[in-house]
Amino acid sequence: MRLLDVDYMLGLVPILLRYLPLTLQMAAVGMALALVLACGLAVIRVLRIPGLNAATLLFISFFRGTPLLVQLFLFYYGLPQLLAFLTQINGITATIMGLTLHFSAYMAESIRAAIVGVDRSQTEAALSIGMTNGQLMRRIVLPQATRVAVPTLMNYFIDMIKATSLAFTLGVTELMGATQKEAAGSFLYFEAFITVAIFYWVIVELLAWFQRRLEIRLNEAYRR
Amino acid sequence: MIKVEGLVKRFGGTAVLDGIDLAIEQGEIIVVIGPSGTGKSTLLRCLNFLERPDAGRLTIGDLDVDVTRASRADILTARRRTAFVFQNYALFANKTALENIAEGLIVVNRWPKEKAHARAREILERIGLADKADAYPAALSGGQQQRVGIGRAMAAQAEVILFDEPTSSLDPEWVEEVLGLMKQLARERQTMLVVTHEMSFARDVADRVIFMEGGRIVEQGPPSQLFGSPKDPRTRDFLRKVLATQVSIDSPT
Amino acid sequence: MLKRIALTAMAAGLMTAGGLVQADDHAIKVGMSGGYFPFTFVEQDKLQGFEVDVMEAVAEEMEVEVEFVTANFSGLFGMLESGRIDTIANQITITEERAAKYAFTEPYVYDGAQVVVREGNEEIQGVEDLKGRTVAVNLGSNYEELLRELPYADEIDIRTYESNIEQDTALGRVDAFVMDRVSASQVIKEKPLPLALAGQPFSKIRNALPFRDTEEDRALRDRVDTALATLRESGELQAISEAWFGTDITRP
Repeated sequence: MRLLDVDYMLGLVPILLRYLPLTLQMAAVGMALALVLACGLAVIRVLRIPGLNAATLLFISFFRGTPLLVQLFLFYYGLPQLLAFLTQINGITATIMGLTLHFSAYMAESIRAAIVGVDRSQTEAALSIGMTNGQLMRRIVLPQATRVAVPTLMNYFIDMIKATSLAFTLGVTELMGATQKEAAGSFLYFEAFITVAIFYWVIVELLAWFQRRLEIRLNEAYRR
Repeated sequence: MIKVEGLVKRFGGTAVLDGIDLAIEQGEIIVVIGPSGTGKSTLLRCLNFLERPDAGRLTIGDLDVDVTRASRADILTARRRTAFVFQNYALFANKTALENIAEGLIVVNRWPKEKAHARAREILERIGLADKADAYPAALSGGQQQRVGIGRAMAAQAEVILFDEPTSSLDPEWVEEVLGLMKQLARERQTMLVVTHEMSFARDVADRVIFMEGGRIVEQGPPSQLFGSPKDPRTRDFLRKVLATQVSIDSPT
Repeated sequence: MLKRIALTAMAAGLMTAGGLVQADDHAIKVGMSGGYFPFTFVEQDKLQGFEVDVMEAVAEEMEVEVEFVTANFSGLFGMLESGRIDTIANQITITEERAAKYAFTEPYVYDGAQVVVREGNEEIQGVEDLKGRTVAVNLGSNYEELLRELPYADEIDIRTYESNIEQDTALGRVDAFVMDRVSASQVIKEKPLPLALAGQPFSKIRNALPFRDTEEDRALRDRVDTALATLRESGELQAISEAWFGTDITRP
């Protein structure tokens, strides 16, 4: 049993901090795009738009039914063999694409459930005063669905941040990639991986704190 | 002036409305009574296009359509000219009392927000809830929620307000404040079409009472006539059953 | 509000997409794992190692820039296939299958496959003792094939790893691992892991740089070969080897 090399761990912190922005950027961009896509997919599912509905079901089925790593390999290594111009897609973009498509499939279903869960009387009240379907969605249904969907969506965001650690497989040196390489250089595996674990943990805890505040705000209208 | 001719609505094969003819004069207060499941609520919902009728003609002001051919624009027009008060209040859960009343003015009538809020405040005064402007529905009692629901209908400045059993979901303690507000509107000659089981309200406030059964209008007339000397045996039968439970409490004796 | 977030996100996505896609004829893109001491590894965020020095010398000789791309080893050949890198400098062993598919340079490292065990393990004295044992190799490396060619391959439990085979052997999770002798010796010498060489190397291996087998890439391979030959003659290749290993591994 040897002692923990604390100096090495402290030395690792500034190095990992350099790679933190890339991890956060990929997750943030991926989440924003996934939200937009998931909302679109959810609306297609709720309104059962002919044709698109079937395509959406297939999309969701595929991206929920296969591992993220498989999808990343497929985009990054596989598709360029069929379509040469896809070589132009770099690892960061491919990671963001993969995260977006994969998580939007999950998020679409929870957004759909949240929309369907909004009481029918809310819809009728909005229609009765002469709102159009679009106004109904924007002003009444989506704001109420947001409150229901936010806890689940935040969990997906947390998952997504951790999933960025797969990016090193596509040649993107982010938090996890930097750690793996440092560990290979020093052979201090425990120190390296516990340090990066603490990095992820702190990020997720900060997010969880933000999530609690957001939920309190969203629940304001429903307190008796 | 609102006119319905030959209104039919079927659910499955069953006709819930079986040829309704009805004309409502401006300022008239009409109460619709009848046993449950006879299409009273469906009649209101068809006027507002919350249900799509299967046949009939609808006239509201200069809108005059065959209901089966009503375009999207026709439907929006009909809805804007008929305000609806729901049995379960159906206030927008994500909006305050003030915002519930202002919402239609802002979104549908495209009023500037300040103007809509000023009008909403006036209405809150009139319904006695000025101090609850910023309260969300969850924090209001049933009676207060239904008064806001009526306030929302008032804001629409519709040709008619349709009341769909507005007191049926209320605990007994809140019924009076809601009926009181409806009576106030009646005194101001707000055109109203009310479906209710509150016979005393019908007797005291209505210009005309309509008795419906089996999707048809069986009998109608001023309250004194309908309650005093109903002609149809079905009307008599219904009134006997209902008044047996209500009149003893409601009569001022 | 939502719209603004979406637009910002898309802009950011496009920027990252645009920023890194720059085909550059004056740079040779070299893939490596960055996790294979002492050939390619990172210390204090700096990529270094024997492969790094060799490729920098080659690029200087060719008068081009060199750009290193690090990725998990299992992703490297995918990157080569999909045209994202020009070659791989990661102790790539010439095998029959690879030689059929890729255009290799002349070998620049001559080495042997080495069995490594946990310190104090006297039961395994060489490759012949691996019968009935659990042996780790790196995923995508050719040591798995070498083991499978052994007459008693059926009796060896071969485990393929993405990384960290040294650690798992030191922890006793597997009985041994196989890698090239040179880097195995280095690992034992430099790193705080209780490991020992078991017996002599059991197979000759030659490492070279693979290129895609196209006309354009074969031309590039030829230029790299010329540069390697010059470095060999000038003694620079030997100097790099001596610096890292204390011996010349670049000659048979």
